[in-house]
Amino acid sequence: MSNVIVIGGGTNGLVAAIGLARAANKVVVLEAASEVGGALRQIEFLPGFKAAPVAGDVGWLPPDVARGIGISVPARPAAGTVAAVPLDGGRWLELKAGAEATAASLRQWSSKDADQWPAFAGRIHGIAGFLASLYGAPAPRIDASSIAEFLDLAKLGRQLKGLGKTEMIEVLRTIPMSVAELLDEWFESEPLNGLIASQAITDLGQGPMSGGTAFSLIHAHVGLPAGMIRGMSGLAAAEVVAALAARAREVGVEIRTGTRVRRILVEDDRVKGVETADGAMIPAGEVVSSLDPYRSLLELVDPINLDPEFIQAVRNVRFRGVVTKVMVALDGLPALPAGLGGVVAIAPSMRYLEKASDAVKYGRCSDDPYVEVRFGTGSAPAGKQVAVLHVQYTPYRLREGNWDALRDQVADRAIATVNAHLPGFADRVVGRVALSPADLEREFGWREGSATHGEMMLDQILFMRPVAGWARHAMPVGGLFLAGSGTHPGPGMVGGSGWLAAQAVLAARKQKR
Amino acid sequence: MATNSYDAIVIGGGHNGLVTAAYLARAGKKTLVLERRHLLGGAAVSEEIFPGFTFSVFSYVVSLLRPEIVRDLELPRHGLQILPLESTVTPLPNGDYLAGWGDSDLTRREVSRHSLRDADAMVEFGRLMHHMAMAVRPILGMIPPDPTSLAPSDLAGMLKLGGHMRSLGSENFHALYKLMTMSAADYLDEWYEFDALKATKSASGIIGTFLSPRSPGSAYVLLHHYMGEIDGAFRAWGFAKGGTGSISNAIGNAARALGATIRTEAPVAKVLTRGGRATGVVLDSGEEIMAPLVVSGLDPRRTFLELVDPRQLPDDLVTAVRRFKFRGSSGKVNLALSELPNFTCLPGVGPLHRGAVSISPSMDYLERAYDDAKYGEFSKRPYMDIVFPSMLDPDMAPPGKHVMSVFVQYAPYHLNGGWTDAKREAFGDAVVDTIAEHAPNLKSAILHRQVLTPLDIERVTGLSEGNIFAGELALQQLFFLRPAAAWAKYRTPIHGYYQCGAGTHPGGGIMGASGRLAALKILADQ
Repeated sequence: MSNVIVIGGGTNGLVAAIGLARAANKVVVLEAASEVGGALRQIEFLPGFKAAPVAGDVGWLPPDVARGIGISVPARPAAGTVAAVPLDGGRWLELKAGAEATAASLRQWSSKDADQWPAFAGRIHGIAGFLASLYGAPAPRIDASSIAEFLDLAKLGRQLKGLGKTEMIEVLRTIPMSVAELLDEWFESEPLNGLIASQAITDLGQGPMSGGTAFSLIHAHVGLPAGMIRGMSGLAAAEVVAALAARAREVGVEIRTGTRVRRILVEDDRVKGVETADGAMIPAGEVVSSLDPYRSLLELVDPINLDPEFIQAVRNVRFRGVVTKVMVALDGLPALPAGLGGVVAIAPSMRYLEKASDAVKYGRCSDDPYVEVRFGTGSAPAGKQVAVLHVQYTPYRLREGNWDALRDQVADRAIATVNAHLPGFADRVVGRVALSPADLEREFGWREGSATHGEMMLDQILFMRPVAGWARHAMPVGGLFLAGSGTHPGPGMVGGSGWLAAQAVLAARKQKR
Repeated sequence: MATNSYDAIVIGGGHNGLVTAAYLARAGKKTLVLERRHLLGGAAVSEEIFPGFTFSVFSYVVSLLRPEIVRDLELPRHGLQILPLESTVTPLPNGDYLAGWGDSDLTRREVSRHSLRDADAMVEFGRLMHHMAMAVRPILGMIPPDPTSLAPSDLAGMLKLGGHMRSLGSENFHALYKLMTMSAADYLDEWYEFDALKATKSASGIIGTFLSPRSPGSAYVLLHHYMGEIDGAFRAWGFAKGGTGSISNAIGNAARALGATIRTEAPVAKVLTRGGRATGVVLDSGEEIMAPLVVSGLDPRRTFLELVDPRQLPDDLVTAVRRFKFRGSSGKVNLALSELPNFTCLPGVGPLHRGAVSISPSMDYLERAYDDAKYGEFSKRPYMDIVFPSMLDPDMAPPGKHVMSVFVQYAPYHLNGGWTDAKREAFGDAVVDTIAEHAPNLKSAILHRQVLTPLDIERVTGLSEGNIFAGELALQQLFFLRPAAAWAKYRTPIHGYYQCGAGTHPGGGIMGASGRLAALKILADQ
């Protein structure tokens, strides 16, 4: 029985640990924070007010992963309104959980859009289904050297063909498009397009007119029920983390919180273990890092152990966080649509989002940002409420000024923006704490504040994630593996990368023997 | 009636239509070309717009013309002469300049004035681009297989394509994949640090598209423009003696020499069909001309929605053509000059005037130009690519005088409020004012000015929405999706009716590849 160290106790780290422990390994998870959960951690931002600033929606739990590690977490998909845009005169444009209900709700704005909705939802679901089949397996390799890999590639081709002619063409045609072009083909209501597009641009530095954003929309839909175009797996972050931690302990994983890793020790091109911040050496035959690729490879590993071209490739991974999170304490709720189970999006049109994105190009924060408000999250004292604002675009790299000077300004601007669309909101605010991209980097260890461990753009997915040629979790140092969402299949799901990383560790051992 | 029937009719005497006609004639087909205007060339025409001043009115440089076409049709014998454009000079905001010269050692020395790192990177970058161009070249010469089809020829095509990809090796494949999916800005950021260098290079990635250099998909167009091939040398751009119209005329002469008939001022109204077969065409004049083969060199919108009744076509195809994006984004300003502009960054008449001048001082500059356009305005301070054809070919202007060609981006076809004469002039003023900041004598040197908006380009050349590539070169509109899935192999659902314009694979630029591949396909089908 050999020793495996997993760095980072987020969902991917825990899933990898469980996967390995079940295959009879002694697994230790080292987590720098005082509790596991990584991005899903709750913070008490003001006395009595707690919120998970970044766990808007935890994404889907791939059934293969759930089965593989032996957990089940109840999904409670939203029943009512999944997302809504506030419009003039207290009216709302709402997306509902089901395609039929959404179509009915859209009819008051445009009967054309209402008629189109079910077909659109079906189309997106079909393409997402194809992506799902790619996400459950190691990234495809084009230079398939073995027969087995060539068969994988052939299988991929068959899956694509199995979609049927029209769907197959739609996959190939849609994925490189901008979400603006895609939506122009379907809908006419500006707020509807704004609301759908806001999903596509989430966590990206680009606006809806930028190529590749249609892929981003579809990626976000993978694993969700048909018709649920805008996020909402219905999994509760706290329940997911608790289930993973419990399962990890059950299968014998040792979790050490408050333990920061300073270095990954390498000898003769092979990992020997890790050195922690307090100077302790922990030996291990394999090290699995669920941190982002930059931190894992360029901060924890001595560069002398890596090829210069590989180092350059890792340096070229684009992170570019653009989101500030504002946790808000409220003394009550503003007027909201009945049955709101999801988010309020300040996305009156695609043009609004595109304009908001312009600022990033010049290293500034949007004057009129895209803001997504999540009510009823976290916990608050009796009679009080918590809301979390996702504020985009606020680039990590500012051309002028610094985040310590700008943080509060951005928070105020975000609250004012919400108030302009949702009158009465600002009056309810009794306190707020903002986490800029720089703060998120510090608090959660995300390079440049990127929640996705690297932009989810076409050139950074599948066999390109984290870098070309190294997309199957094993890194160029023997015994070193990556398991974070900076690796295939990436963010937006629970444990997808961690599970494949665990499989990669086991496969590498088999090969060694 | 005997004189009024042919084996094949080609609609449109643009360079692709002429290439198709020449190849068909070469194979012994009695071929007729019908051109709407009084001269040949479509967007590749030379016209004496002002007395004594001849302009390549639209398309103005050449690099992509396929060498096999030059060889097969013996174009030099028919008057084709390419003069190399040897440099690109970018004036900088601080009064300095950045130059790329014909000589690579000189260029390296020049770039090292601005960044030693970039001067080093250039060598490696050039090598990679060469590999990428070599990797793409066989694809440009390939009839796109239909990936949804199980027909033996399509499966063989897919296998050949797959084999080609695998033969690249994983390193080149990954590099190609990056080039296909990244933005020009991000791609160049991985190589270079000097802002004006990145801006000038990425500018070639946005030409003819409605993308920002920061939008994924723009890096590919960069390669498209890198693929220039004069006498086998990659990267060189050239200028045709007599203007781009002389390329069209050379191809036209070759076609005639091979037996084709060419009629100008013969606009086609409709393609005639009977029982799902093409039987000929009818002209605007009502004249009917019969042929069992009809080939459209027009863009997909005109080919499928105007020349034939769309009700004859499958709904899928009609939908796809309606969704095909044109979105013209560029304009052209042609100036007749009493003297050459004197650029303050490199004063006097010099090598700068024998090459291109690129107004692309920074990435921000290009982004701001795009910001104007995406909200429906022309760029107040646009990206421009400027050449002085009379410096290479003195016959283009009266002695001592000059012609200046300015390619301008962005100018959206769908301008807020629509294009008017006043807006056209305001656009022309923006162009002249911006150049005058770098060459103060320009305004007083202008004798005549022709301003072409995308709407003008559409009106004169017939290119829908003024798109210079007959449809955007976006990833979702390339290869087996150009112009539409299942109809990328030059055929149409109407038997005997084919397409050969730049709206088919590979399209764009004075390349002629679409015209040649279409002819090969037609002949193979016979």
